[in-house]
Amino acid sequence: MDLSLKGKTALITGSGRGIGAALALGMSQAGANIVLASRNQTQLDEVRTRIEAAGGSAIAVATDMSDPASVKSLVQRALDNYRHIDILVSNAAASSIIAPLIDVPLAGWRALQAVNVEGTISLLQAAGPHMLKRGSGSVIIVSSTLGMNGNPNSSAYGASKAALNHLTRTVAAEWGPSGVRVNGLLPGPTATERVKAVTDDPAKYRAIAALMPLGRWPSAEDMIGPALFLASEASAFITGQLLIVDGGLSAVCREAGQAVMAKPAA
Amino acid sequence: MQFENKVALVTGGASGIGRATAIAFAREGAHVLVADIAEEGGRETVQMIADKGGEAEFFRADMLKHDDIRNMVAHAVTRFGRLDCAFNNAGHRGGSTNAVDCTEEEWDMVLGLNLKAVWLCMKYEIPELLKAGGGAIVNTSSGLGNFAAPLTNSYSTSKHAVVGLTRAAAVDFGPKNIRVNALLPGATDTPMLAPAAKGSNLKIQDMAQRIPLRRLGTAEDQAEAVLWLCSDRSAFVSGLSLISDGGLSVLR
Repeated sequence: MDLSLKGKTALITGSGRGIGAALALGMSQAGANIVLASRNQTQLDEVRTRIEAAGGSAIAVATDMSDPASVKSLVQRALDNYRHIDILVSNAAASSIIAPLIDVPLAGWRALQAVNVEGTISLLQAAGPHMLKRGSGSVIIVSSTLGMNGNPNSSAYGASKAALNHLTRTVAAEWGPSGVRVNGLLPGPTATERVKAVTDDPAKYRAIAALMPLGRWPSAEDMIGPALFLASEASAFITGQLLIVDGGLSAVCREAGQAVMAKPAA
Repeated sequence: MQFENKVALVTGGASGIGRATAIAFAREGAHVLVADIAEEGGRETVQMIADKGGEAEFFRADMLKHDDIRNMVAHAVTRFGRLDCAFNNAGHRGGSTNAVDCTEEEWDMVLGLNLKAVWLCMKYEIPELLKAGGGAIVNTSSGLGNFAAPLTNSYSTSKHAVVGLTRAAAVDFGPKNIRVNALLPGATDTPMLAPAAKGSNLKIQDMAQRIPLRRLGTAEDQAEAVLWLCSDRSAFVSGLSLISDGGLSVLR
């Protein structure tokens, strides 16, 4: 089982914190050089310091994913520094607009799609030519199971993730013949900074953990193994897939079970 | 050595994906029980493992026999002391029939082998995994467990059902630290594929051209996926249908 990334270079957006930072550290531990990117240079520098302290190599490039020029510049910095991009992780995402659709401001909707969807498109368009010419590589698009389900108050974020899920499949079909694999990594609810409001509340934390088949929340670190699998040769025949990492949450619908299996009244 | 001191059970280990997976488990340090109805192939798998310094044993089991399945799991525990992971992979492609032409004999055989046997394997494996404090199971479904193809009435049905069986077990036993996932291989270069292509108008070489990655899968490709799903590098992955098909099913 070879999850090694020795000699490879991984470009990871949104890598200043949360899942992005965890993937950066995990991939560095697996041997990859890391190109860190997000809007926050301070956070990026912190991650870079941790990588270097552990003996790894990284550069930190402040980037605005909603600006195609900024994204192009990011890719150029990566190539100038490490000559190749082997692994492309599109992880940067704007946070959810938690409101019913009827109350979602159109400007807010557009701004969210600009980062989540168009930012990913800019990244694929900027790094694609290099990877396709090279004839190898692995693209990981970090999406979410919210892009598959229809939970209230998640329309903007969910729609952006649904778009990414579809993009994953389309681009996989387009890039497959050139030897570049494209897969989605879909966490379910994950205990990161982004959802602190929920995880810091013991009652809410426990309530959601109880719904999880594995009985606990995953951490950002739980996404590292799946990302290494997708990035490495271990998944050499896998492309166009949405790898759901949610402990089985999306495999269950308790209410349906209760409706069907409830014992009849005596 | 991801599986040092672990015990793995592989059904259908006499050839193809089962053989490659048994070999991969052993290479990573696991003690492997190789089960199959095909004695010669099964013993050959064990020999291949022993030749590389690994530890494995063959157990002859007919997946259509409840007693064989129960004895197989019991033997793994008796021989190796515990059970940590299982790859319920033995399968049969059945005949090429549709809902009208399919006979009751074919249905019972294909569903019995591809579906009921997987359930019975889990029935006996899970209590042993519980004793070990948890574990992982991978059930072999198929690309045809996610969509149909002409004349696959019983095979496609059985493989779709393996997905349901996998999800149900994931839901029931997740709280007990047991992860259950399904592998859905696409066109993979093994003995099971060749007869499929022989009678058809599609040559294997042409098949590769239809696949985005422009090649068939190898048994080793599938083995890597199984090992990952059984390792602690997939600790929060359960109830997943992992399609490994070079991207073929993305296209319609």
